[in-house]
Amino acid sequence: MNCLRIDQIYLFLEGELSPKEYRSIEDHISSCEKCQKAVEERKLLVEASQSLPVWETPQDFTQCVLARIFPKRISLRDWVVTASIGLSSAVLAFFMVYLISGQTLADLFINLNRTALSLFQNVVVVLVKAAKLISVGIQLILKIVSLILSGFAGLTTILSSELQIGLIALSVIITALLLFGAKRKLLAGEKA
Amino acid sequence: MEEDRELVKRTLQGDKQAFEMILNKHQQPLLNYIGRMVGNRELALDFTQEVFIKTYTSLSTYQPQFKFRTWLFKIASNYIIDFWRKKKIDAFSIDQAGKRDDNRPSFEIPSEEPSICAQFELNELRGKIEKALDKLPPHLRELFVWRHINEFSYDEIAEIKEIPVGTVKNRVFQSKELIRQFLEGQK
Repeated sequence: MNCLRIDQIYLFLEGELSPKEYRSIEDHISSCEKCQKAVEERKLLVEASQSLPVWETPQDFTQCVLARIFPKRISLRDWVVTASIGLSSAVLAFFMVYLISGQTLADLFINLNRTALSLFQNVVVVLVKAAKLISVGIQLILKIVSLILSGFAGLTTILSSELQIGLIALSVIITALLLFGAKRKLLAGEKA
Repeated sequence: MEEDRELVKRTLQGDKQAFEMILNKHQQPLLNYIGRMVGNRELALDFTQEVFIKTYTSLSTYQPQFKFRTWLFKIASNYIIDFWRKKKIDAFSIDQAGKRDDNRPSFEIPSEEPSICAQFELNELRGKIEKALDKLPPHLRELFVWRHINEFSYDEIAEIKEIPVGTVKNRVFQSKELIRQFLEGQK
């Protein structure tokens, strides 16, 4: 047999030859120092190539990809639960106000209506004035809104639905208490 | 581990866990391929994510007569080529590599061939090979990585690149001889 070609050496080392070809090459390298040396050289190269360091993926890789493919959406059931808790919180806050203020229910409704109307009127005035400013910076506001929305979308993927419900309920209670505080302030002003 | 084709079928039926299993099985081999092609870990991680997303959105076009991982790596290979084209980097046409056989080393053993690899410890040799990989033309580097890091068969590589098995073998041998030449130049 003639001396080996390099491609034959690689096929030999990678077990890509028939048993007959394999034996024939083995016979040759046992008697040819040059080919033996060439085989040893490629053997080291192949061994090192097959054991190169592995690049590890980060632990959260799978979850990152899944979050991008299947963005978390709040189900109808979650929305219903959230609305129920929000409504319950509002009713609870109303009764807290009722108990603390010592007014009759009818008075309380009337006062709350007045407060709401007064707030609404103030807000309308402020909004009319703000509209002029908004018209100037409309592009800027649109960008900000878009940023807030994307932030909220990100938040909904991070927070669990239970936590979101909790946050909404908390904000409802805080709002009710603020309303109550505002009413007391107004009443105090009227009395004075 | 569950058969890829079965996992694809389940994913298409809406089973998210099945796709999660696909992700867990293939993320590391894919990162090792993409990482060696782009040479930057952060970029490689981004690309690996993108390839999986592309794979998911194209899953309905997967033909079960082909191996899933060859289909996945074909998507990855095309993604890298597109990236290079957009960046106006010579895509050196991984896909047209047939015209790029210039500087091809001879497959004859020289009469006085020095022993290069034996001069290094195994770990050192690995490091040298990693560095030499960066210098390889990407169309050869890609085949080398698939063969020796991803441990694909020559048939699988031929299926991905849609070229004859003999051509794949020659190019893989050529890539190793070029690496050896780089090592010789460094000695």
